[in-house]
Amino acid sequence: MIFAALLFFAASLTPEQQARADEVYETLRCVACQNQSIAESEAEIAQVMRSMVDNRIAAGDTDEQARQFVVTHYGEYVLLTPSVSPKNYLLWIGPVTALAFGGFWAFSLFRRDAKSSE
Amino acid sequence: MSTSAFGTILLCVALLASGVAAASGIARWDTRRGLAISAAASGAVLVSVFAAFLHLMKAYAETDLSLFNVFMNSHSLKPFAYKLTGTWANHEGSLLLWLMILAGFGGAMAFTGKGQPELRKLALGIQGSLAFAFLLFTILTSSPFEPYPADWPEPPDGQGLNPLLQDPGLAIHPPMLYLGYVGLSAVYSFTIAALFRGELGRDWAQAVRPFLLFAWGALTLGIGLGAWWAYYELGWGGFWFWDPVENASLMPWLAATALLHCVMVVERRDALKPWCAALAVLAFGMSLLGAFLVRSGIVTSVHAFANDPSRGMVLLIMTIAFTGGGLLLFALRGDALVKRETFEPVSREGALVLNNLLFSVLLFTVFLGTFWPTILEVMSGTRITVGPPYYNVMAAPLALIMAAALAFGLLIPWKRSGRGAWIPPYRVIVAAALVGALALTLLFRGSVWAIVGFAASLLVLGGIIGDLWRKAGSFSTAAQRLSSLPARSWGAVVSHFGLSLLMLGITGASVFQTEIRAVLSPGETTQIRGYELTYAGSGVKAGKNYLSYLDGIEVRQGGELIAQVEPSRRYYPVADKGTTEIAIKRIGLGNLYIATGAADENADKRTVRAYIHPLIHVMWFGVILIALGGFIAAFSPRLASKRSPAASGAEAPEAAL
Repeated sequence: MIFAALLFFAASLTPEQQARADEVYETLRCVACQNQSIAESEAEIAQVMRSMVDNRIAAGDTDEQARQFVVTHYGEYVLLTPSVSPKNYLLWIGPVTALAFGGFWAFSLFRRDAKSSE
Repeated sequence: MSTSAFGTILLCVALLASGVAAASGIARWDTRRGLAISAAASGAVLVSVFAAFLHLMKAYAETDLSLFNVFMNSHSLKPFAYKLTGTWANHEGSLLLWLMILAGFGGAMAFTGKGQPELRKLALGIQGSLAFAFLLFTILTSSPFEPYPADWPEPPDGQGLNPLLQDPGLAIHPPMLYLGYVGLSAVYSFTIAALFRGELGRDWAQAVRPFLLFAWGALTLGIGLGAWWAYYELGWGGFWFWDPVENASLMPWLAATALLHCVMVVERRDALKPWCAALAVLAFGMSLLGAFLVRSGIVTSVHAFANDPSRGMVLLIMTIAFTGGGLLLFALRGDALVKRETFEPVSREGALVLNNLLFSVLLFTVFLGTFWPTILEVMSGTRITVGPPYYNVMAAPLALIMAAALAFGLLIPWKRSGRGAWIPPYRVIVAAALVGALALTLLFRGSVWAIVGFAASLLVLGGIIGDLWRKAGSFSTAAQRLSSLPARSWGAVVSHFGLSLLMLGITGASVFQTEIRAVLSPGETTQIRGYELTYAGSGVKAGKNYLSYLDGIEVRQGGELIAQVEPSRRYYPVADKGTTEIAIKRIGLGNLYIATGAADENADKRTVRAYIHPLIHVMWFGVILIALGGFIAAFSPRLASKRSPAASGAEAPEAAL
């Protein structure tokens, strides 16, 4: 609670900085909530996470650095968009591969029939 | 007889009857006799399960604490309506609801005369074995008629129901969703029966079609109701969170949507049969997976209840057995279904293949996104989140291609009859949709997502207009030709129009959403898109079984008071839980959505969160139309090869579900 209270009274942001912070909020998951970003949540932990972002932005971090700061505290779990890293390649490439294979299957369906109809 | 004993006896009678229905339907013996016995037994299952359900509901109405289930999930002070709906707001009760609908579809299959007798007999047998398996699971692991333990002290009252679930949305959301989930069991049973017989053709398609369309319509409404409930009850300002359980309801819907388009190809062209069979098994498998996901605790979700790994494991085994068994049968018999026939890529059936491909890829994407965190955690121990941005990036382009394919499919006739004629109108539609989307986006200053959403919506709308235009012929013939269109065609028109509205509504309510958060003292004002919100002050009011902390908010536009709303937080003492009750002020086709919360450290201040969701009512209306189209088509007369008013009239009673 004290930690939380300290963070609450920390940074005050310019409107431009606040707009940037708002965008970072959207990309971070409230760790206590279900698939809900910290922008949407009023849970205490979400407020703490928001002030973490505010502090980093006020200290001159880029959006990405501010995001990484939260990730180092709470783990990759807080990223609503999974990282494009080797362990997630299948997740990102899967749908495209499925589309390619499916397209190939559909094409072969037509090709074969085109031949048989000749 | 005690409440517990009577209920258990009813379930055991149902188990016995379902065993008879299964054995008589599956055994290779006299078709007529087998069908008659299986049908009668299916009727008996329905009657006894229905009686058991009413019996449990009566126990809930009277808060009969001799049942452990009632003790755990109800309370005498609960409003009467929520006592009744509380019957299915828990694992055991919802399983009984599931059983009742399963038995209901069994009864419908037995007594509506769909399919040839031999196909129907076998299908009833499969449906009976499904009922048998679920009844056994219920009786052995999850009986709602479990008595209150004799050696426990006399309970003063029940434990209450999760306040989040004491809501009209809950009253209708699960039954509707289950009608959809379980309705797919009829499709599954007919498909397995057809695979056994090695004949999956028009007869199968016609038997399956009404059940599929009805289940699909109900599933659509069920998902829509779920989104609506989340929108006003969770107070997060959104309607879809790509939550694992939401995804679990979306996956069977995607499979069923692909399937109902595929069934048309089987019905009209006698092609794509193996694919259709696989999809039918998959659609019901996805429903079972949904049931398993909600109850297993394998994913965390707002909707998950009764997280019990051991029961979840049994449900997983049942899911694997029924889905895997079906797919195995498909692998063994699927080859017999393949029919080499000419297949034009540029034809209605070609467009439907594209539709199926895109829906399957979307289904795979949702499946991958839902289970990837679980897979990764098991494999490497890393916990990650697959959140809305992933799904949005994947789904938006697919939705746009789908819309383009839909417009193409609507314009092009079956086989090779329509070569070339579709090209000019399609060009006009695509051009108009792109120009329109660009213009709307620039006008309302939207992002690239807005272009995609508007374009998809307009493409579908253009396809519908082009299709009706083609069918109407000319102005002089339009009235006569359109009025002679069969009901199922109008069903498609209504559903597709609903889809267009849904896409438009989603675009408006998400891309053009405005959101503000402010901490206000009494008398202070904040602004959202030209509306001034003033926090007037707070009060407390007592509800029937809760306390309500109301915050008065005055909404002004240009200084003029247009609304006074009271978002609140409710506290339910029995459950020691709170809920957020948001306030909504409808503005045109959109909503001004206001939620308040206590701001830390200061009792006078309130955190006020406000959203504007333009066009959100267009979205809800779209969902209703999509489902309505399904119901229209489900109850329409079957497609006759030679259509005459007399013939279709004679078929109508038979086609009624």
